[in-house]
Amino acid sequence: MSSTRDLVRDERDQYAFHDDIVYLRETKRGLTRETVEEISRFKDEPEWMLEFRLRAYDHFLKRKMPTWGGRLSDIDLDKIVYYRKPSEREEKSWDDVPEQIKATFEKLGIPEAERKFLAGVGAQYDSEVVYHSVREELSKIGVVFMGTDQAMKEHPEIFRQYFGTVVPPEDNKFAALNSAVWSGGSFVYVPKGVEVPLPLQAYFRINGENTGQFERTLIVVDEGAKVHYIEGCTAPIYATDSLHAAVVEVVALAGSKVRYTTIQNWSNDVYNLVTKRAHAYANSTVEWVDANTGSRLTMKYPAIYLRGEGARAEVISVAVAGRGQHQDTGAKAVHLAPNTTSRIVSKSVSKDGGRATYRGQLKVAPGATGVTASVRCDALMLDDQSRSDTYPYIDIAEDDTTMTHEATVGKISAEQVFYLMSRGLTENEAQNLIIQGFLEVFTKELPMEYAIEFNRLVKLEMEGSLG
Amino acid sequence: MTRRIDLVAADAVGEGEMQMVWTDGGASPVLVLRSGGVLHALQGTCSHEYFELDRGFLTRGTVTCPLHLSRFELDHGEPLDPPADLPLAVYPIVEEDGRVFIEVPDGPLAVNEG
Amino acid sequence: MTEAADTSNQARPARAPRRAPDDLPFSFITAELVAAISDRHDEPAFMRDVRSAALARFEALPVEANRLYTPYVDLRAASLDGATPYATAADTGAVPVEGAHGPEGATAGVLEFDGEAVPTATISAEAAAAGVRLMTLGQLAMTDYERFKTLIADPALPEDDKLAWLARAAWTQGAALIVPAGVHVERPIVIRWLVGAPRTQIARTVIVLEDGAEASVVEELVPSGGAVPGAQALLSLTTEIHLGAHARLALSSLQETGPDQIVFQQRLARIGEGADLRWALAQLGGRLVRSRVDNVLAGDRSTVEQVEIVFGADDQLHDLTSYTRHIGRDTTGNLLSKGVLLDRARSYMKGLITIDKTAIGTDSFLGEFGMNLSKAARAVAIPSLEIDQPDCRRAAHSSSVGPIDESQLFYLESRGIDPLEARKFIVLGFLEPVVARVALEDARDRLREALEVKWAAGFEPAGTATAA
Repeated sequence: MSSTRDLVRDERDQYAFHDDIVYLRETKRGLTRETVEEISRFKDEPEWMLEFRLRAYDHFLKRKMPTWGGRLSDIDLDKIVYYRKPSEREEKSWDDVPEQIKATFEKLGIPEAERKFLAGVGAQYDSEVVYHSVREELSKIGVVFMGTDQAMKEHPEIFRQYFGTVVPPEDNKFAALNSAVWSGGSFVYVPKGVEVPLPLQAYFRINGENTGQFERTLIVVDEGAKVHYIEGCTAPIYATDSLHAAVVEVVALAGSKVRYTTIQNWSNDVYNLVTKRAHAYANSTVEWVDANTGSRLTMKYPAIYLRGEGARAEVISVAVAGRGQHQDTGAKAVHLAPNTTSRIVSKSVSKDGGRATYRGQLKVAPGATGVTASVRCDALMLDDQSRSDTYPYIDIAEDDTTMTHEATVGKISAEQVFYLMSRGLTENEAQNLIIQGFLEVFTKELPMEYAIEFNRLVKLEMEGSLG
Repeated sequence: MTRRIDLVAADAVGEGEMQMVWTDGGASPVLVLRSGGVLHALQGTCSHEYFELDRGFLTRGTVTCPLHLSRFELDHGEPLDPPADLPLAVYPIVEEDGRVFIEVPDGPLAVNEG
Repeated sequence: MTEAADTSNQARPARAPRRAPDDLPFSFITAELVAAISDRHDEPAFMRDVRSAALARFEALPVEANRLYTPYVDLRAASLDGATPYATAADTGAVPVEGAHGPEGATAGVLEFDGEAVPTATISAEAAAAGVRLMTLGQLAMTDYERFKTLIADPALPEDDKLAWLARAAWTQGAALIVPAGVHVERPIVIRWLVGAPRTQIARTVIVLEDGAEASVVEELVPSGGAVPGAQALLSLTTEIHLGAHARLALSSLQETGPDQIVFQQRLARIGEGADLRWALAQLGGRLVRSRVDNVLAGDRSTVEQVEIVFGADDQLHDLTSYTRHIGRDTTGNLLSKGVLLDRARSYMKGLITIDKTAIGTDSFLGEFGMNLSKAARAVAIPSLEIDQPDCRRAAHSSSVGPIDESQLFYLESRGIDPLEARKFIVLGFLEPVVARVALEDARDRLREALEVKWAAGFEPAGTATAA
């Protein structure tokens, strides 16, 4: 019986990476029409995608930078390299692999040694091997889970049917930018009635760009199906360039259930501008569970358009804004069909001059009768250098909507801290416990491994040990 | 001088349905819809930001552009919800022999754009 | 039957120039007009300077300067091209009329403006003896020039309020109420404006309560008897309130103008240390109402309570913005807005609470509650907060929109009350908090009646005779 190592080596040979071929895989700095054409050529894309990109590029040029939200004036669009394909993964140590990933491998029942290779540890490896073992499990139940680039080629019908329909390029300047230069991201298709047993994690897609700046994710969940997708991890992600403009489109067909969890912890020099939107059809449920702890500026407003009767939307979002950070986040629920419900919960913590802004929109269109909607946004400010803003837009055009909105802003209660200290905790520990309690509504929605990691992350943020 | 443009078969557009017809050799999109039993023909793109309105939402006598949620009433194309403030051009409908036409002045189809 | 292949480059059919929703519906505020006003009244140099500085500010600003609210402004219902403001103000001083307005003894004073008629004023003997001054601004200029100068030229208007600068540039009539230090005026004082076509009314009101003074004011905006029905008219009114330390003012403002009235209301209140301001605002009339209230809680321990009701019907648009700024320590703000909408009415309730870093110990609450009673009504609520100081006693806001509470309805119907009556009780009960706060019984009764009439008009089955 050959050792695991031999087994892996054999498979590697099958998918040998030929490094005698040198590809030019990087565009020049800045963005021109040629850049867009080059990207499409590198990827060997069908004609329609090139047209889509070029149309998006034209629109990108036309749109002005938004003057609301955070300060975008420091982004130099001409300095960015818009496409970069890593030819090899860098070496990593097993310690670098995030806890929750290790735990997931455990769940998958993959033996220790093989795990190390899967995580890309050690000498050269080939990502194709890794990738296949995960995909096999899923393809048995008909689930498609692959990189967006690959899906465009292997599943063109379904891809083309939905791509760009939830977030069109004309939506905003950064959606246009993403539409022009997108690369990487996930494509998920879950067939009718299938319940995906494990959360799908972006980390599994180790081939191709993992955390590309302009990733584009498309998730289509067919009728009655169910899936949980998790993106990001708590380890800080150091980006080569400082702009991350991603687009996530989710289509939840009738009766389906989709949960999309994001934990964002970009390094503090990154501009994180994301357009995330879902279309929820009849009796479907879409949940955005969203944490924003990193980046210099995040502008992200997960949205759900409730298009079918009986659809349900839920957004649970937390933002932690420390020194030099601005988390400008929120949620949008647009009720277009009757008997739909939405629930938005937003929690933010700001300290050391950090700024947390909640920007939300709740809209009930005529014809959307019997809507129940609620919004709860609470902000905790730890000191008077920080800032908290709340801008909710509530627009109701039906006469039987039941909608409530509550917002509070406050600081940590001195009595609570005192009480906990009298029970033996240090001041820091007490504060931390209170903050964790404040964010509990979010953390309890995370899978256990993530929850533990997330709490640890928040604790570190509070101590200011993260740069 | 006016001209007639043939759009669709009348029974191709059911109640609550919208269809886009690309007239003038594909240059001028026209949105045809039926609401409350009545056929309407309007400019096919939003007057606020370019977007094809057949991908929008038809709810109780109004059409909403999904891009920024501008909303328009159907009789005169007047904007009801921001950010649009220009109306959608409305084209007079003529039904004949089971087909739906619009009767418009000569020249390129009138369209309002932001 | 197919289209003719027409490639000729014909011009598109001509279209009338469209107004953007935030285009001002008139253009008569010009340097010429402002100069004509000054000339007519032989105004001194400083007045001309104040007006022209205000005009410059007016011209430089957009109608809505706050980015948060730019999509929610719509002045297209106003059609005022034919309107012309009067350069002449009948403001050489109000004519005192003994007890002609309101029941004997109910008020401490009444000041009434009715178009180009000479304003009339009455003041109770006690109030006069205590030094309370209720008069037109013109009269104030004649009797206390220094005071007049200070008040008129007071620079503090919200920087970005175009319509406030309009009134300051082009006002032709004005009211002044000054209550000296320590004086408590027991009975309410009424300031009444009768408005309507063809008159364009641009006016200013200044209310000063010196340290420790107390008073209550009822401001009434009602249709003028001589108003031309069916024609639109503009009323632009700026009210500036100065409260000294520990002063207390209760101000009810009842806007019950006619269905074609265009109303621009701007109010600014500067609230001193320990002072207290209570607003009770009712918006019933008007075709298009754009109101802005700025509460500046400058003094430590200053407080403001603002309760507002809107009852919209037909095609009314009530565009109401409220800014509350906490600057001093331990200030309190309690703002409540309630709206009921029928037919195709729209209401925009925009509130922004700002807590400056200096405002330690703030207690701030903003509530916006709406009832849409018809399918075509539309309620927009934007209750916003900007907080720079977390050390607050409370900083919260709450908003809800919903239909009539079914359980309340059930309760009343199960007690034998007719369903339509029950709905009326619930709606009028919903709006009662402002009514109850109006200091003058007469005005309260009138307001209740106005609400009932409006309700009946909205719910009367078609074709039946209306029992008044």
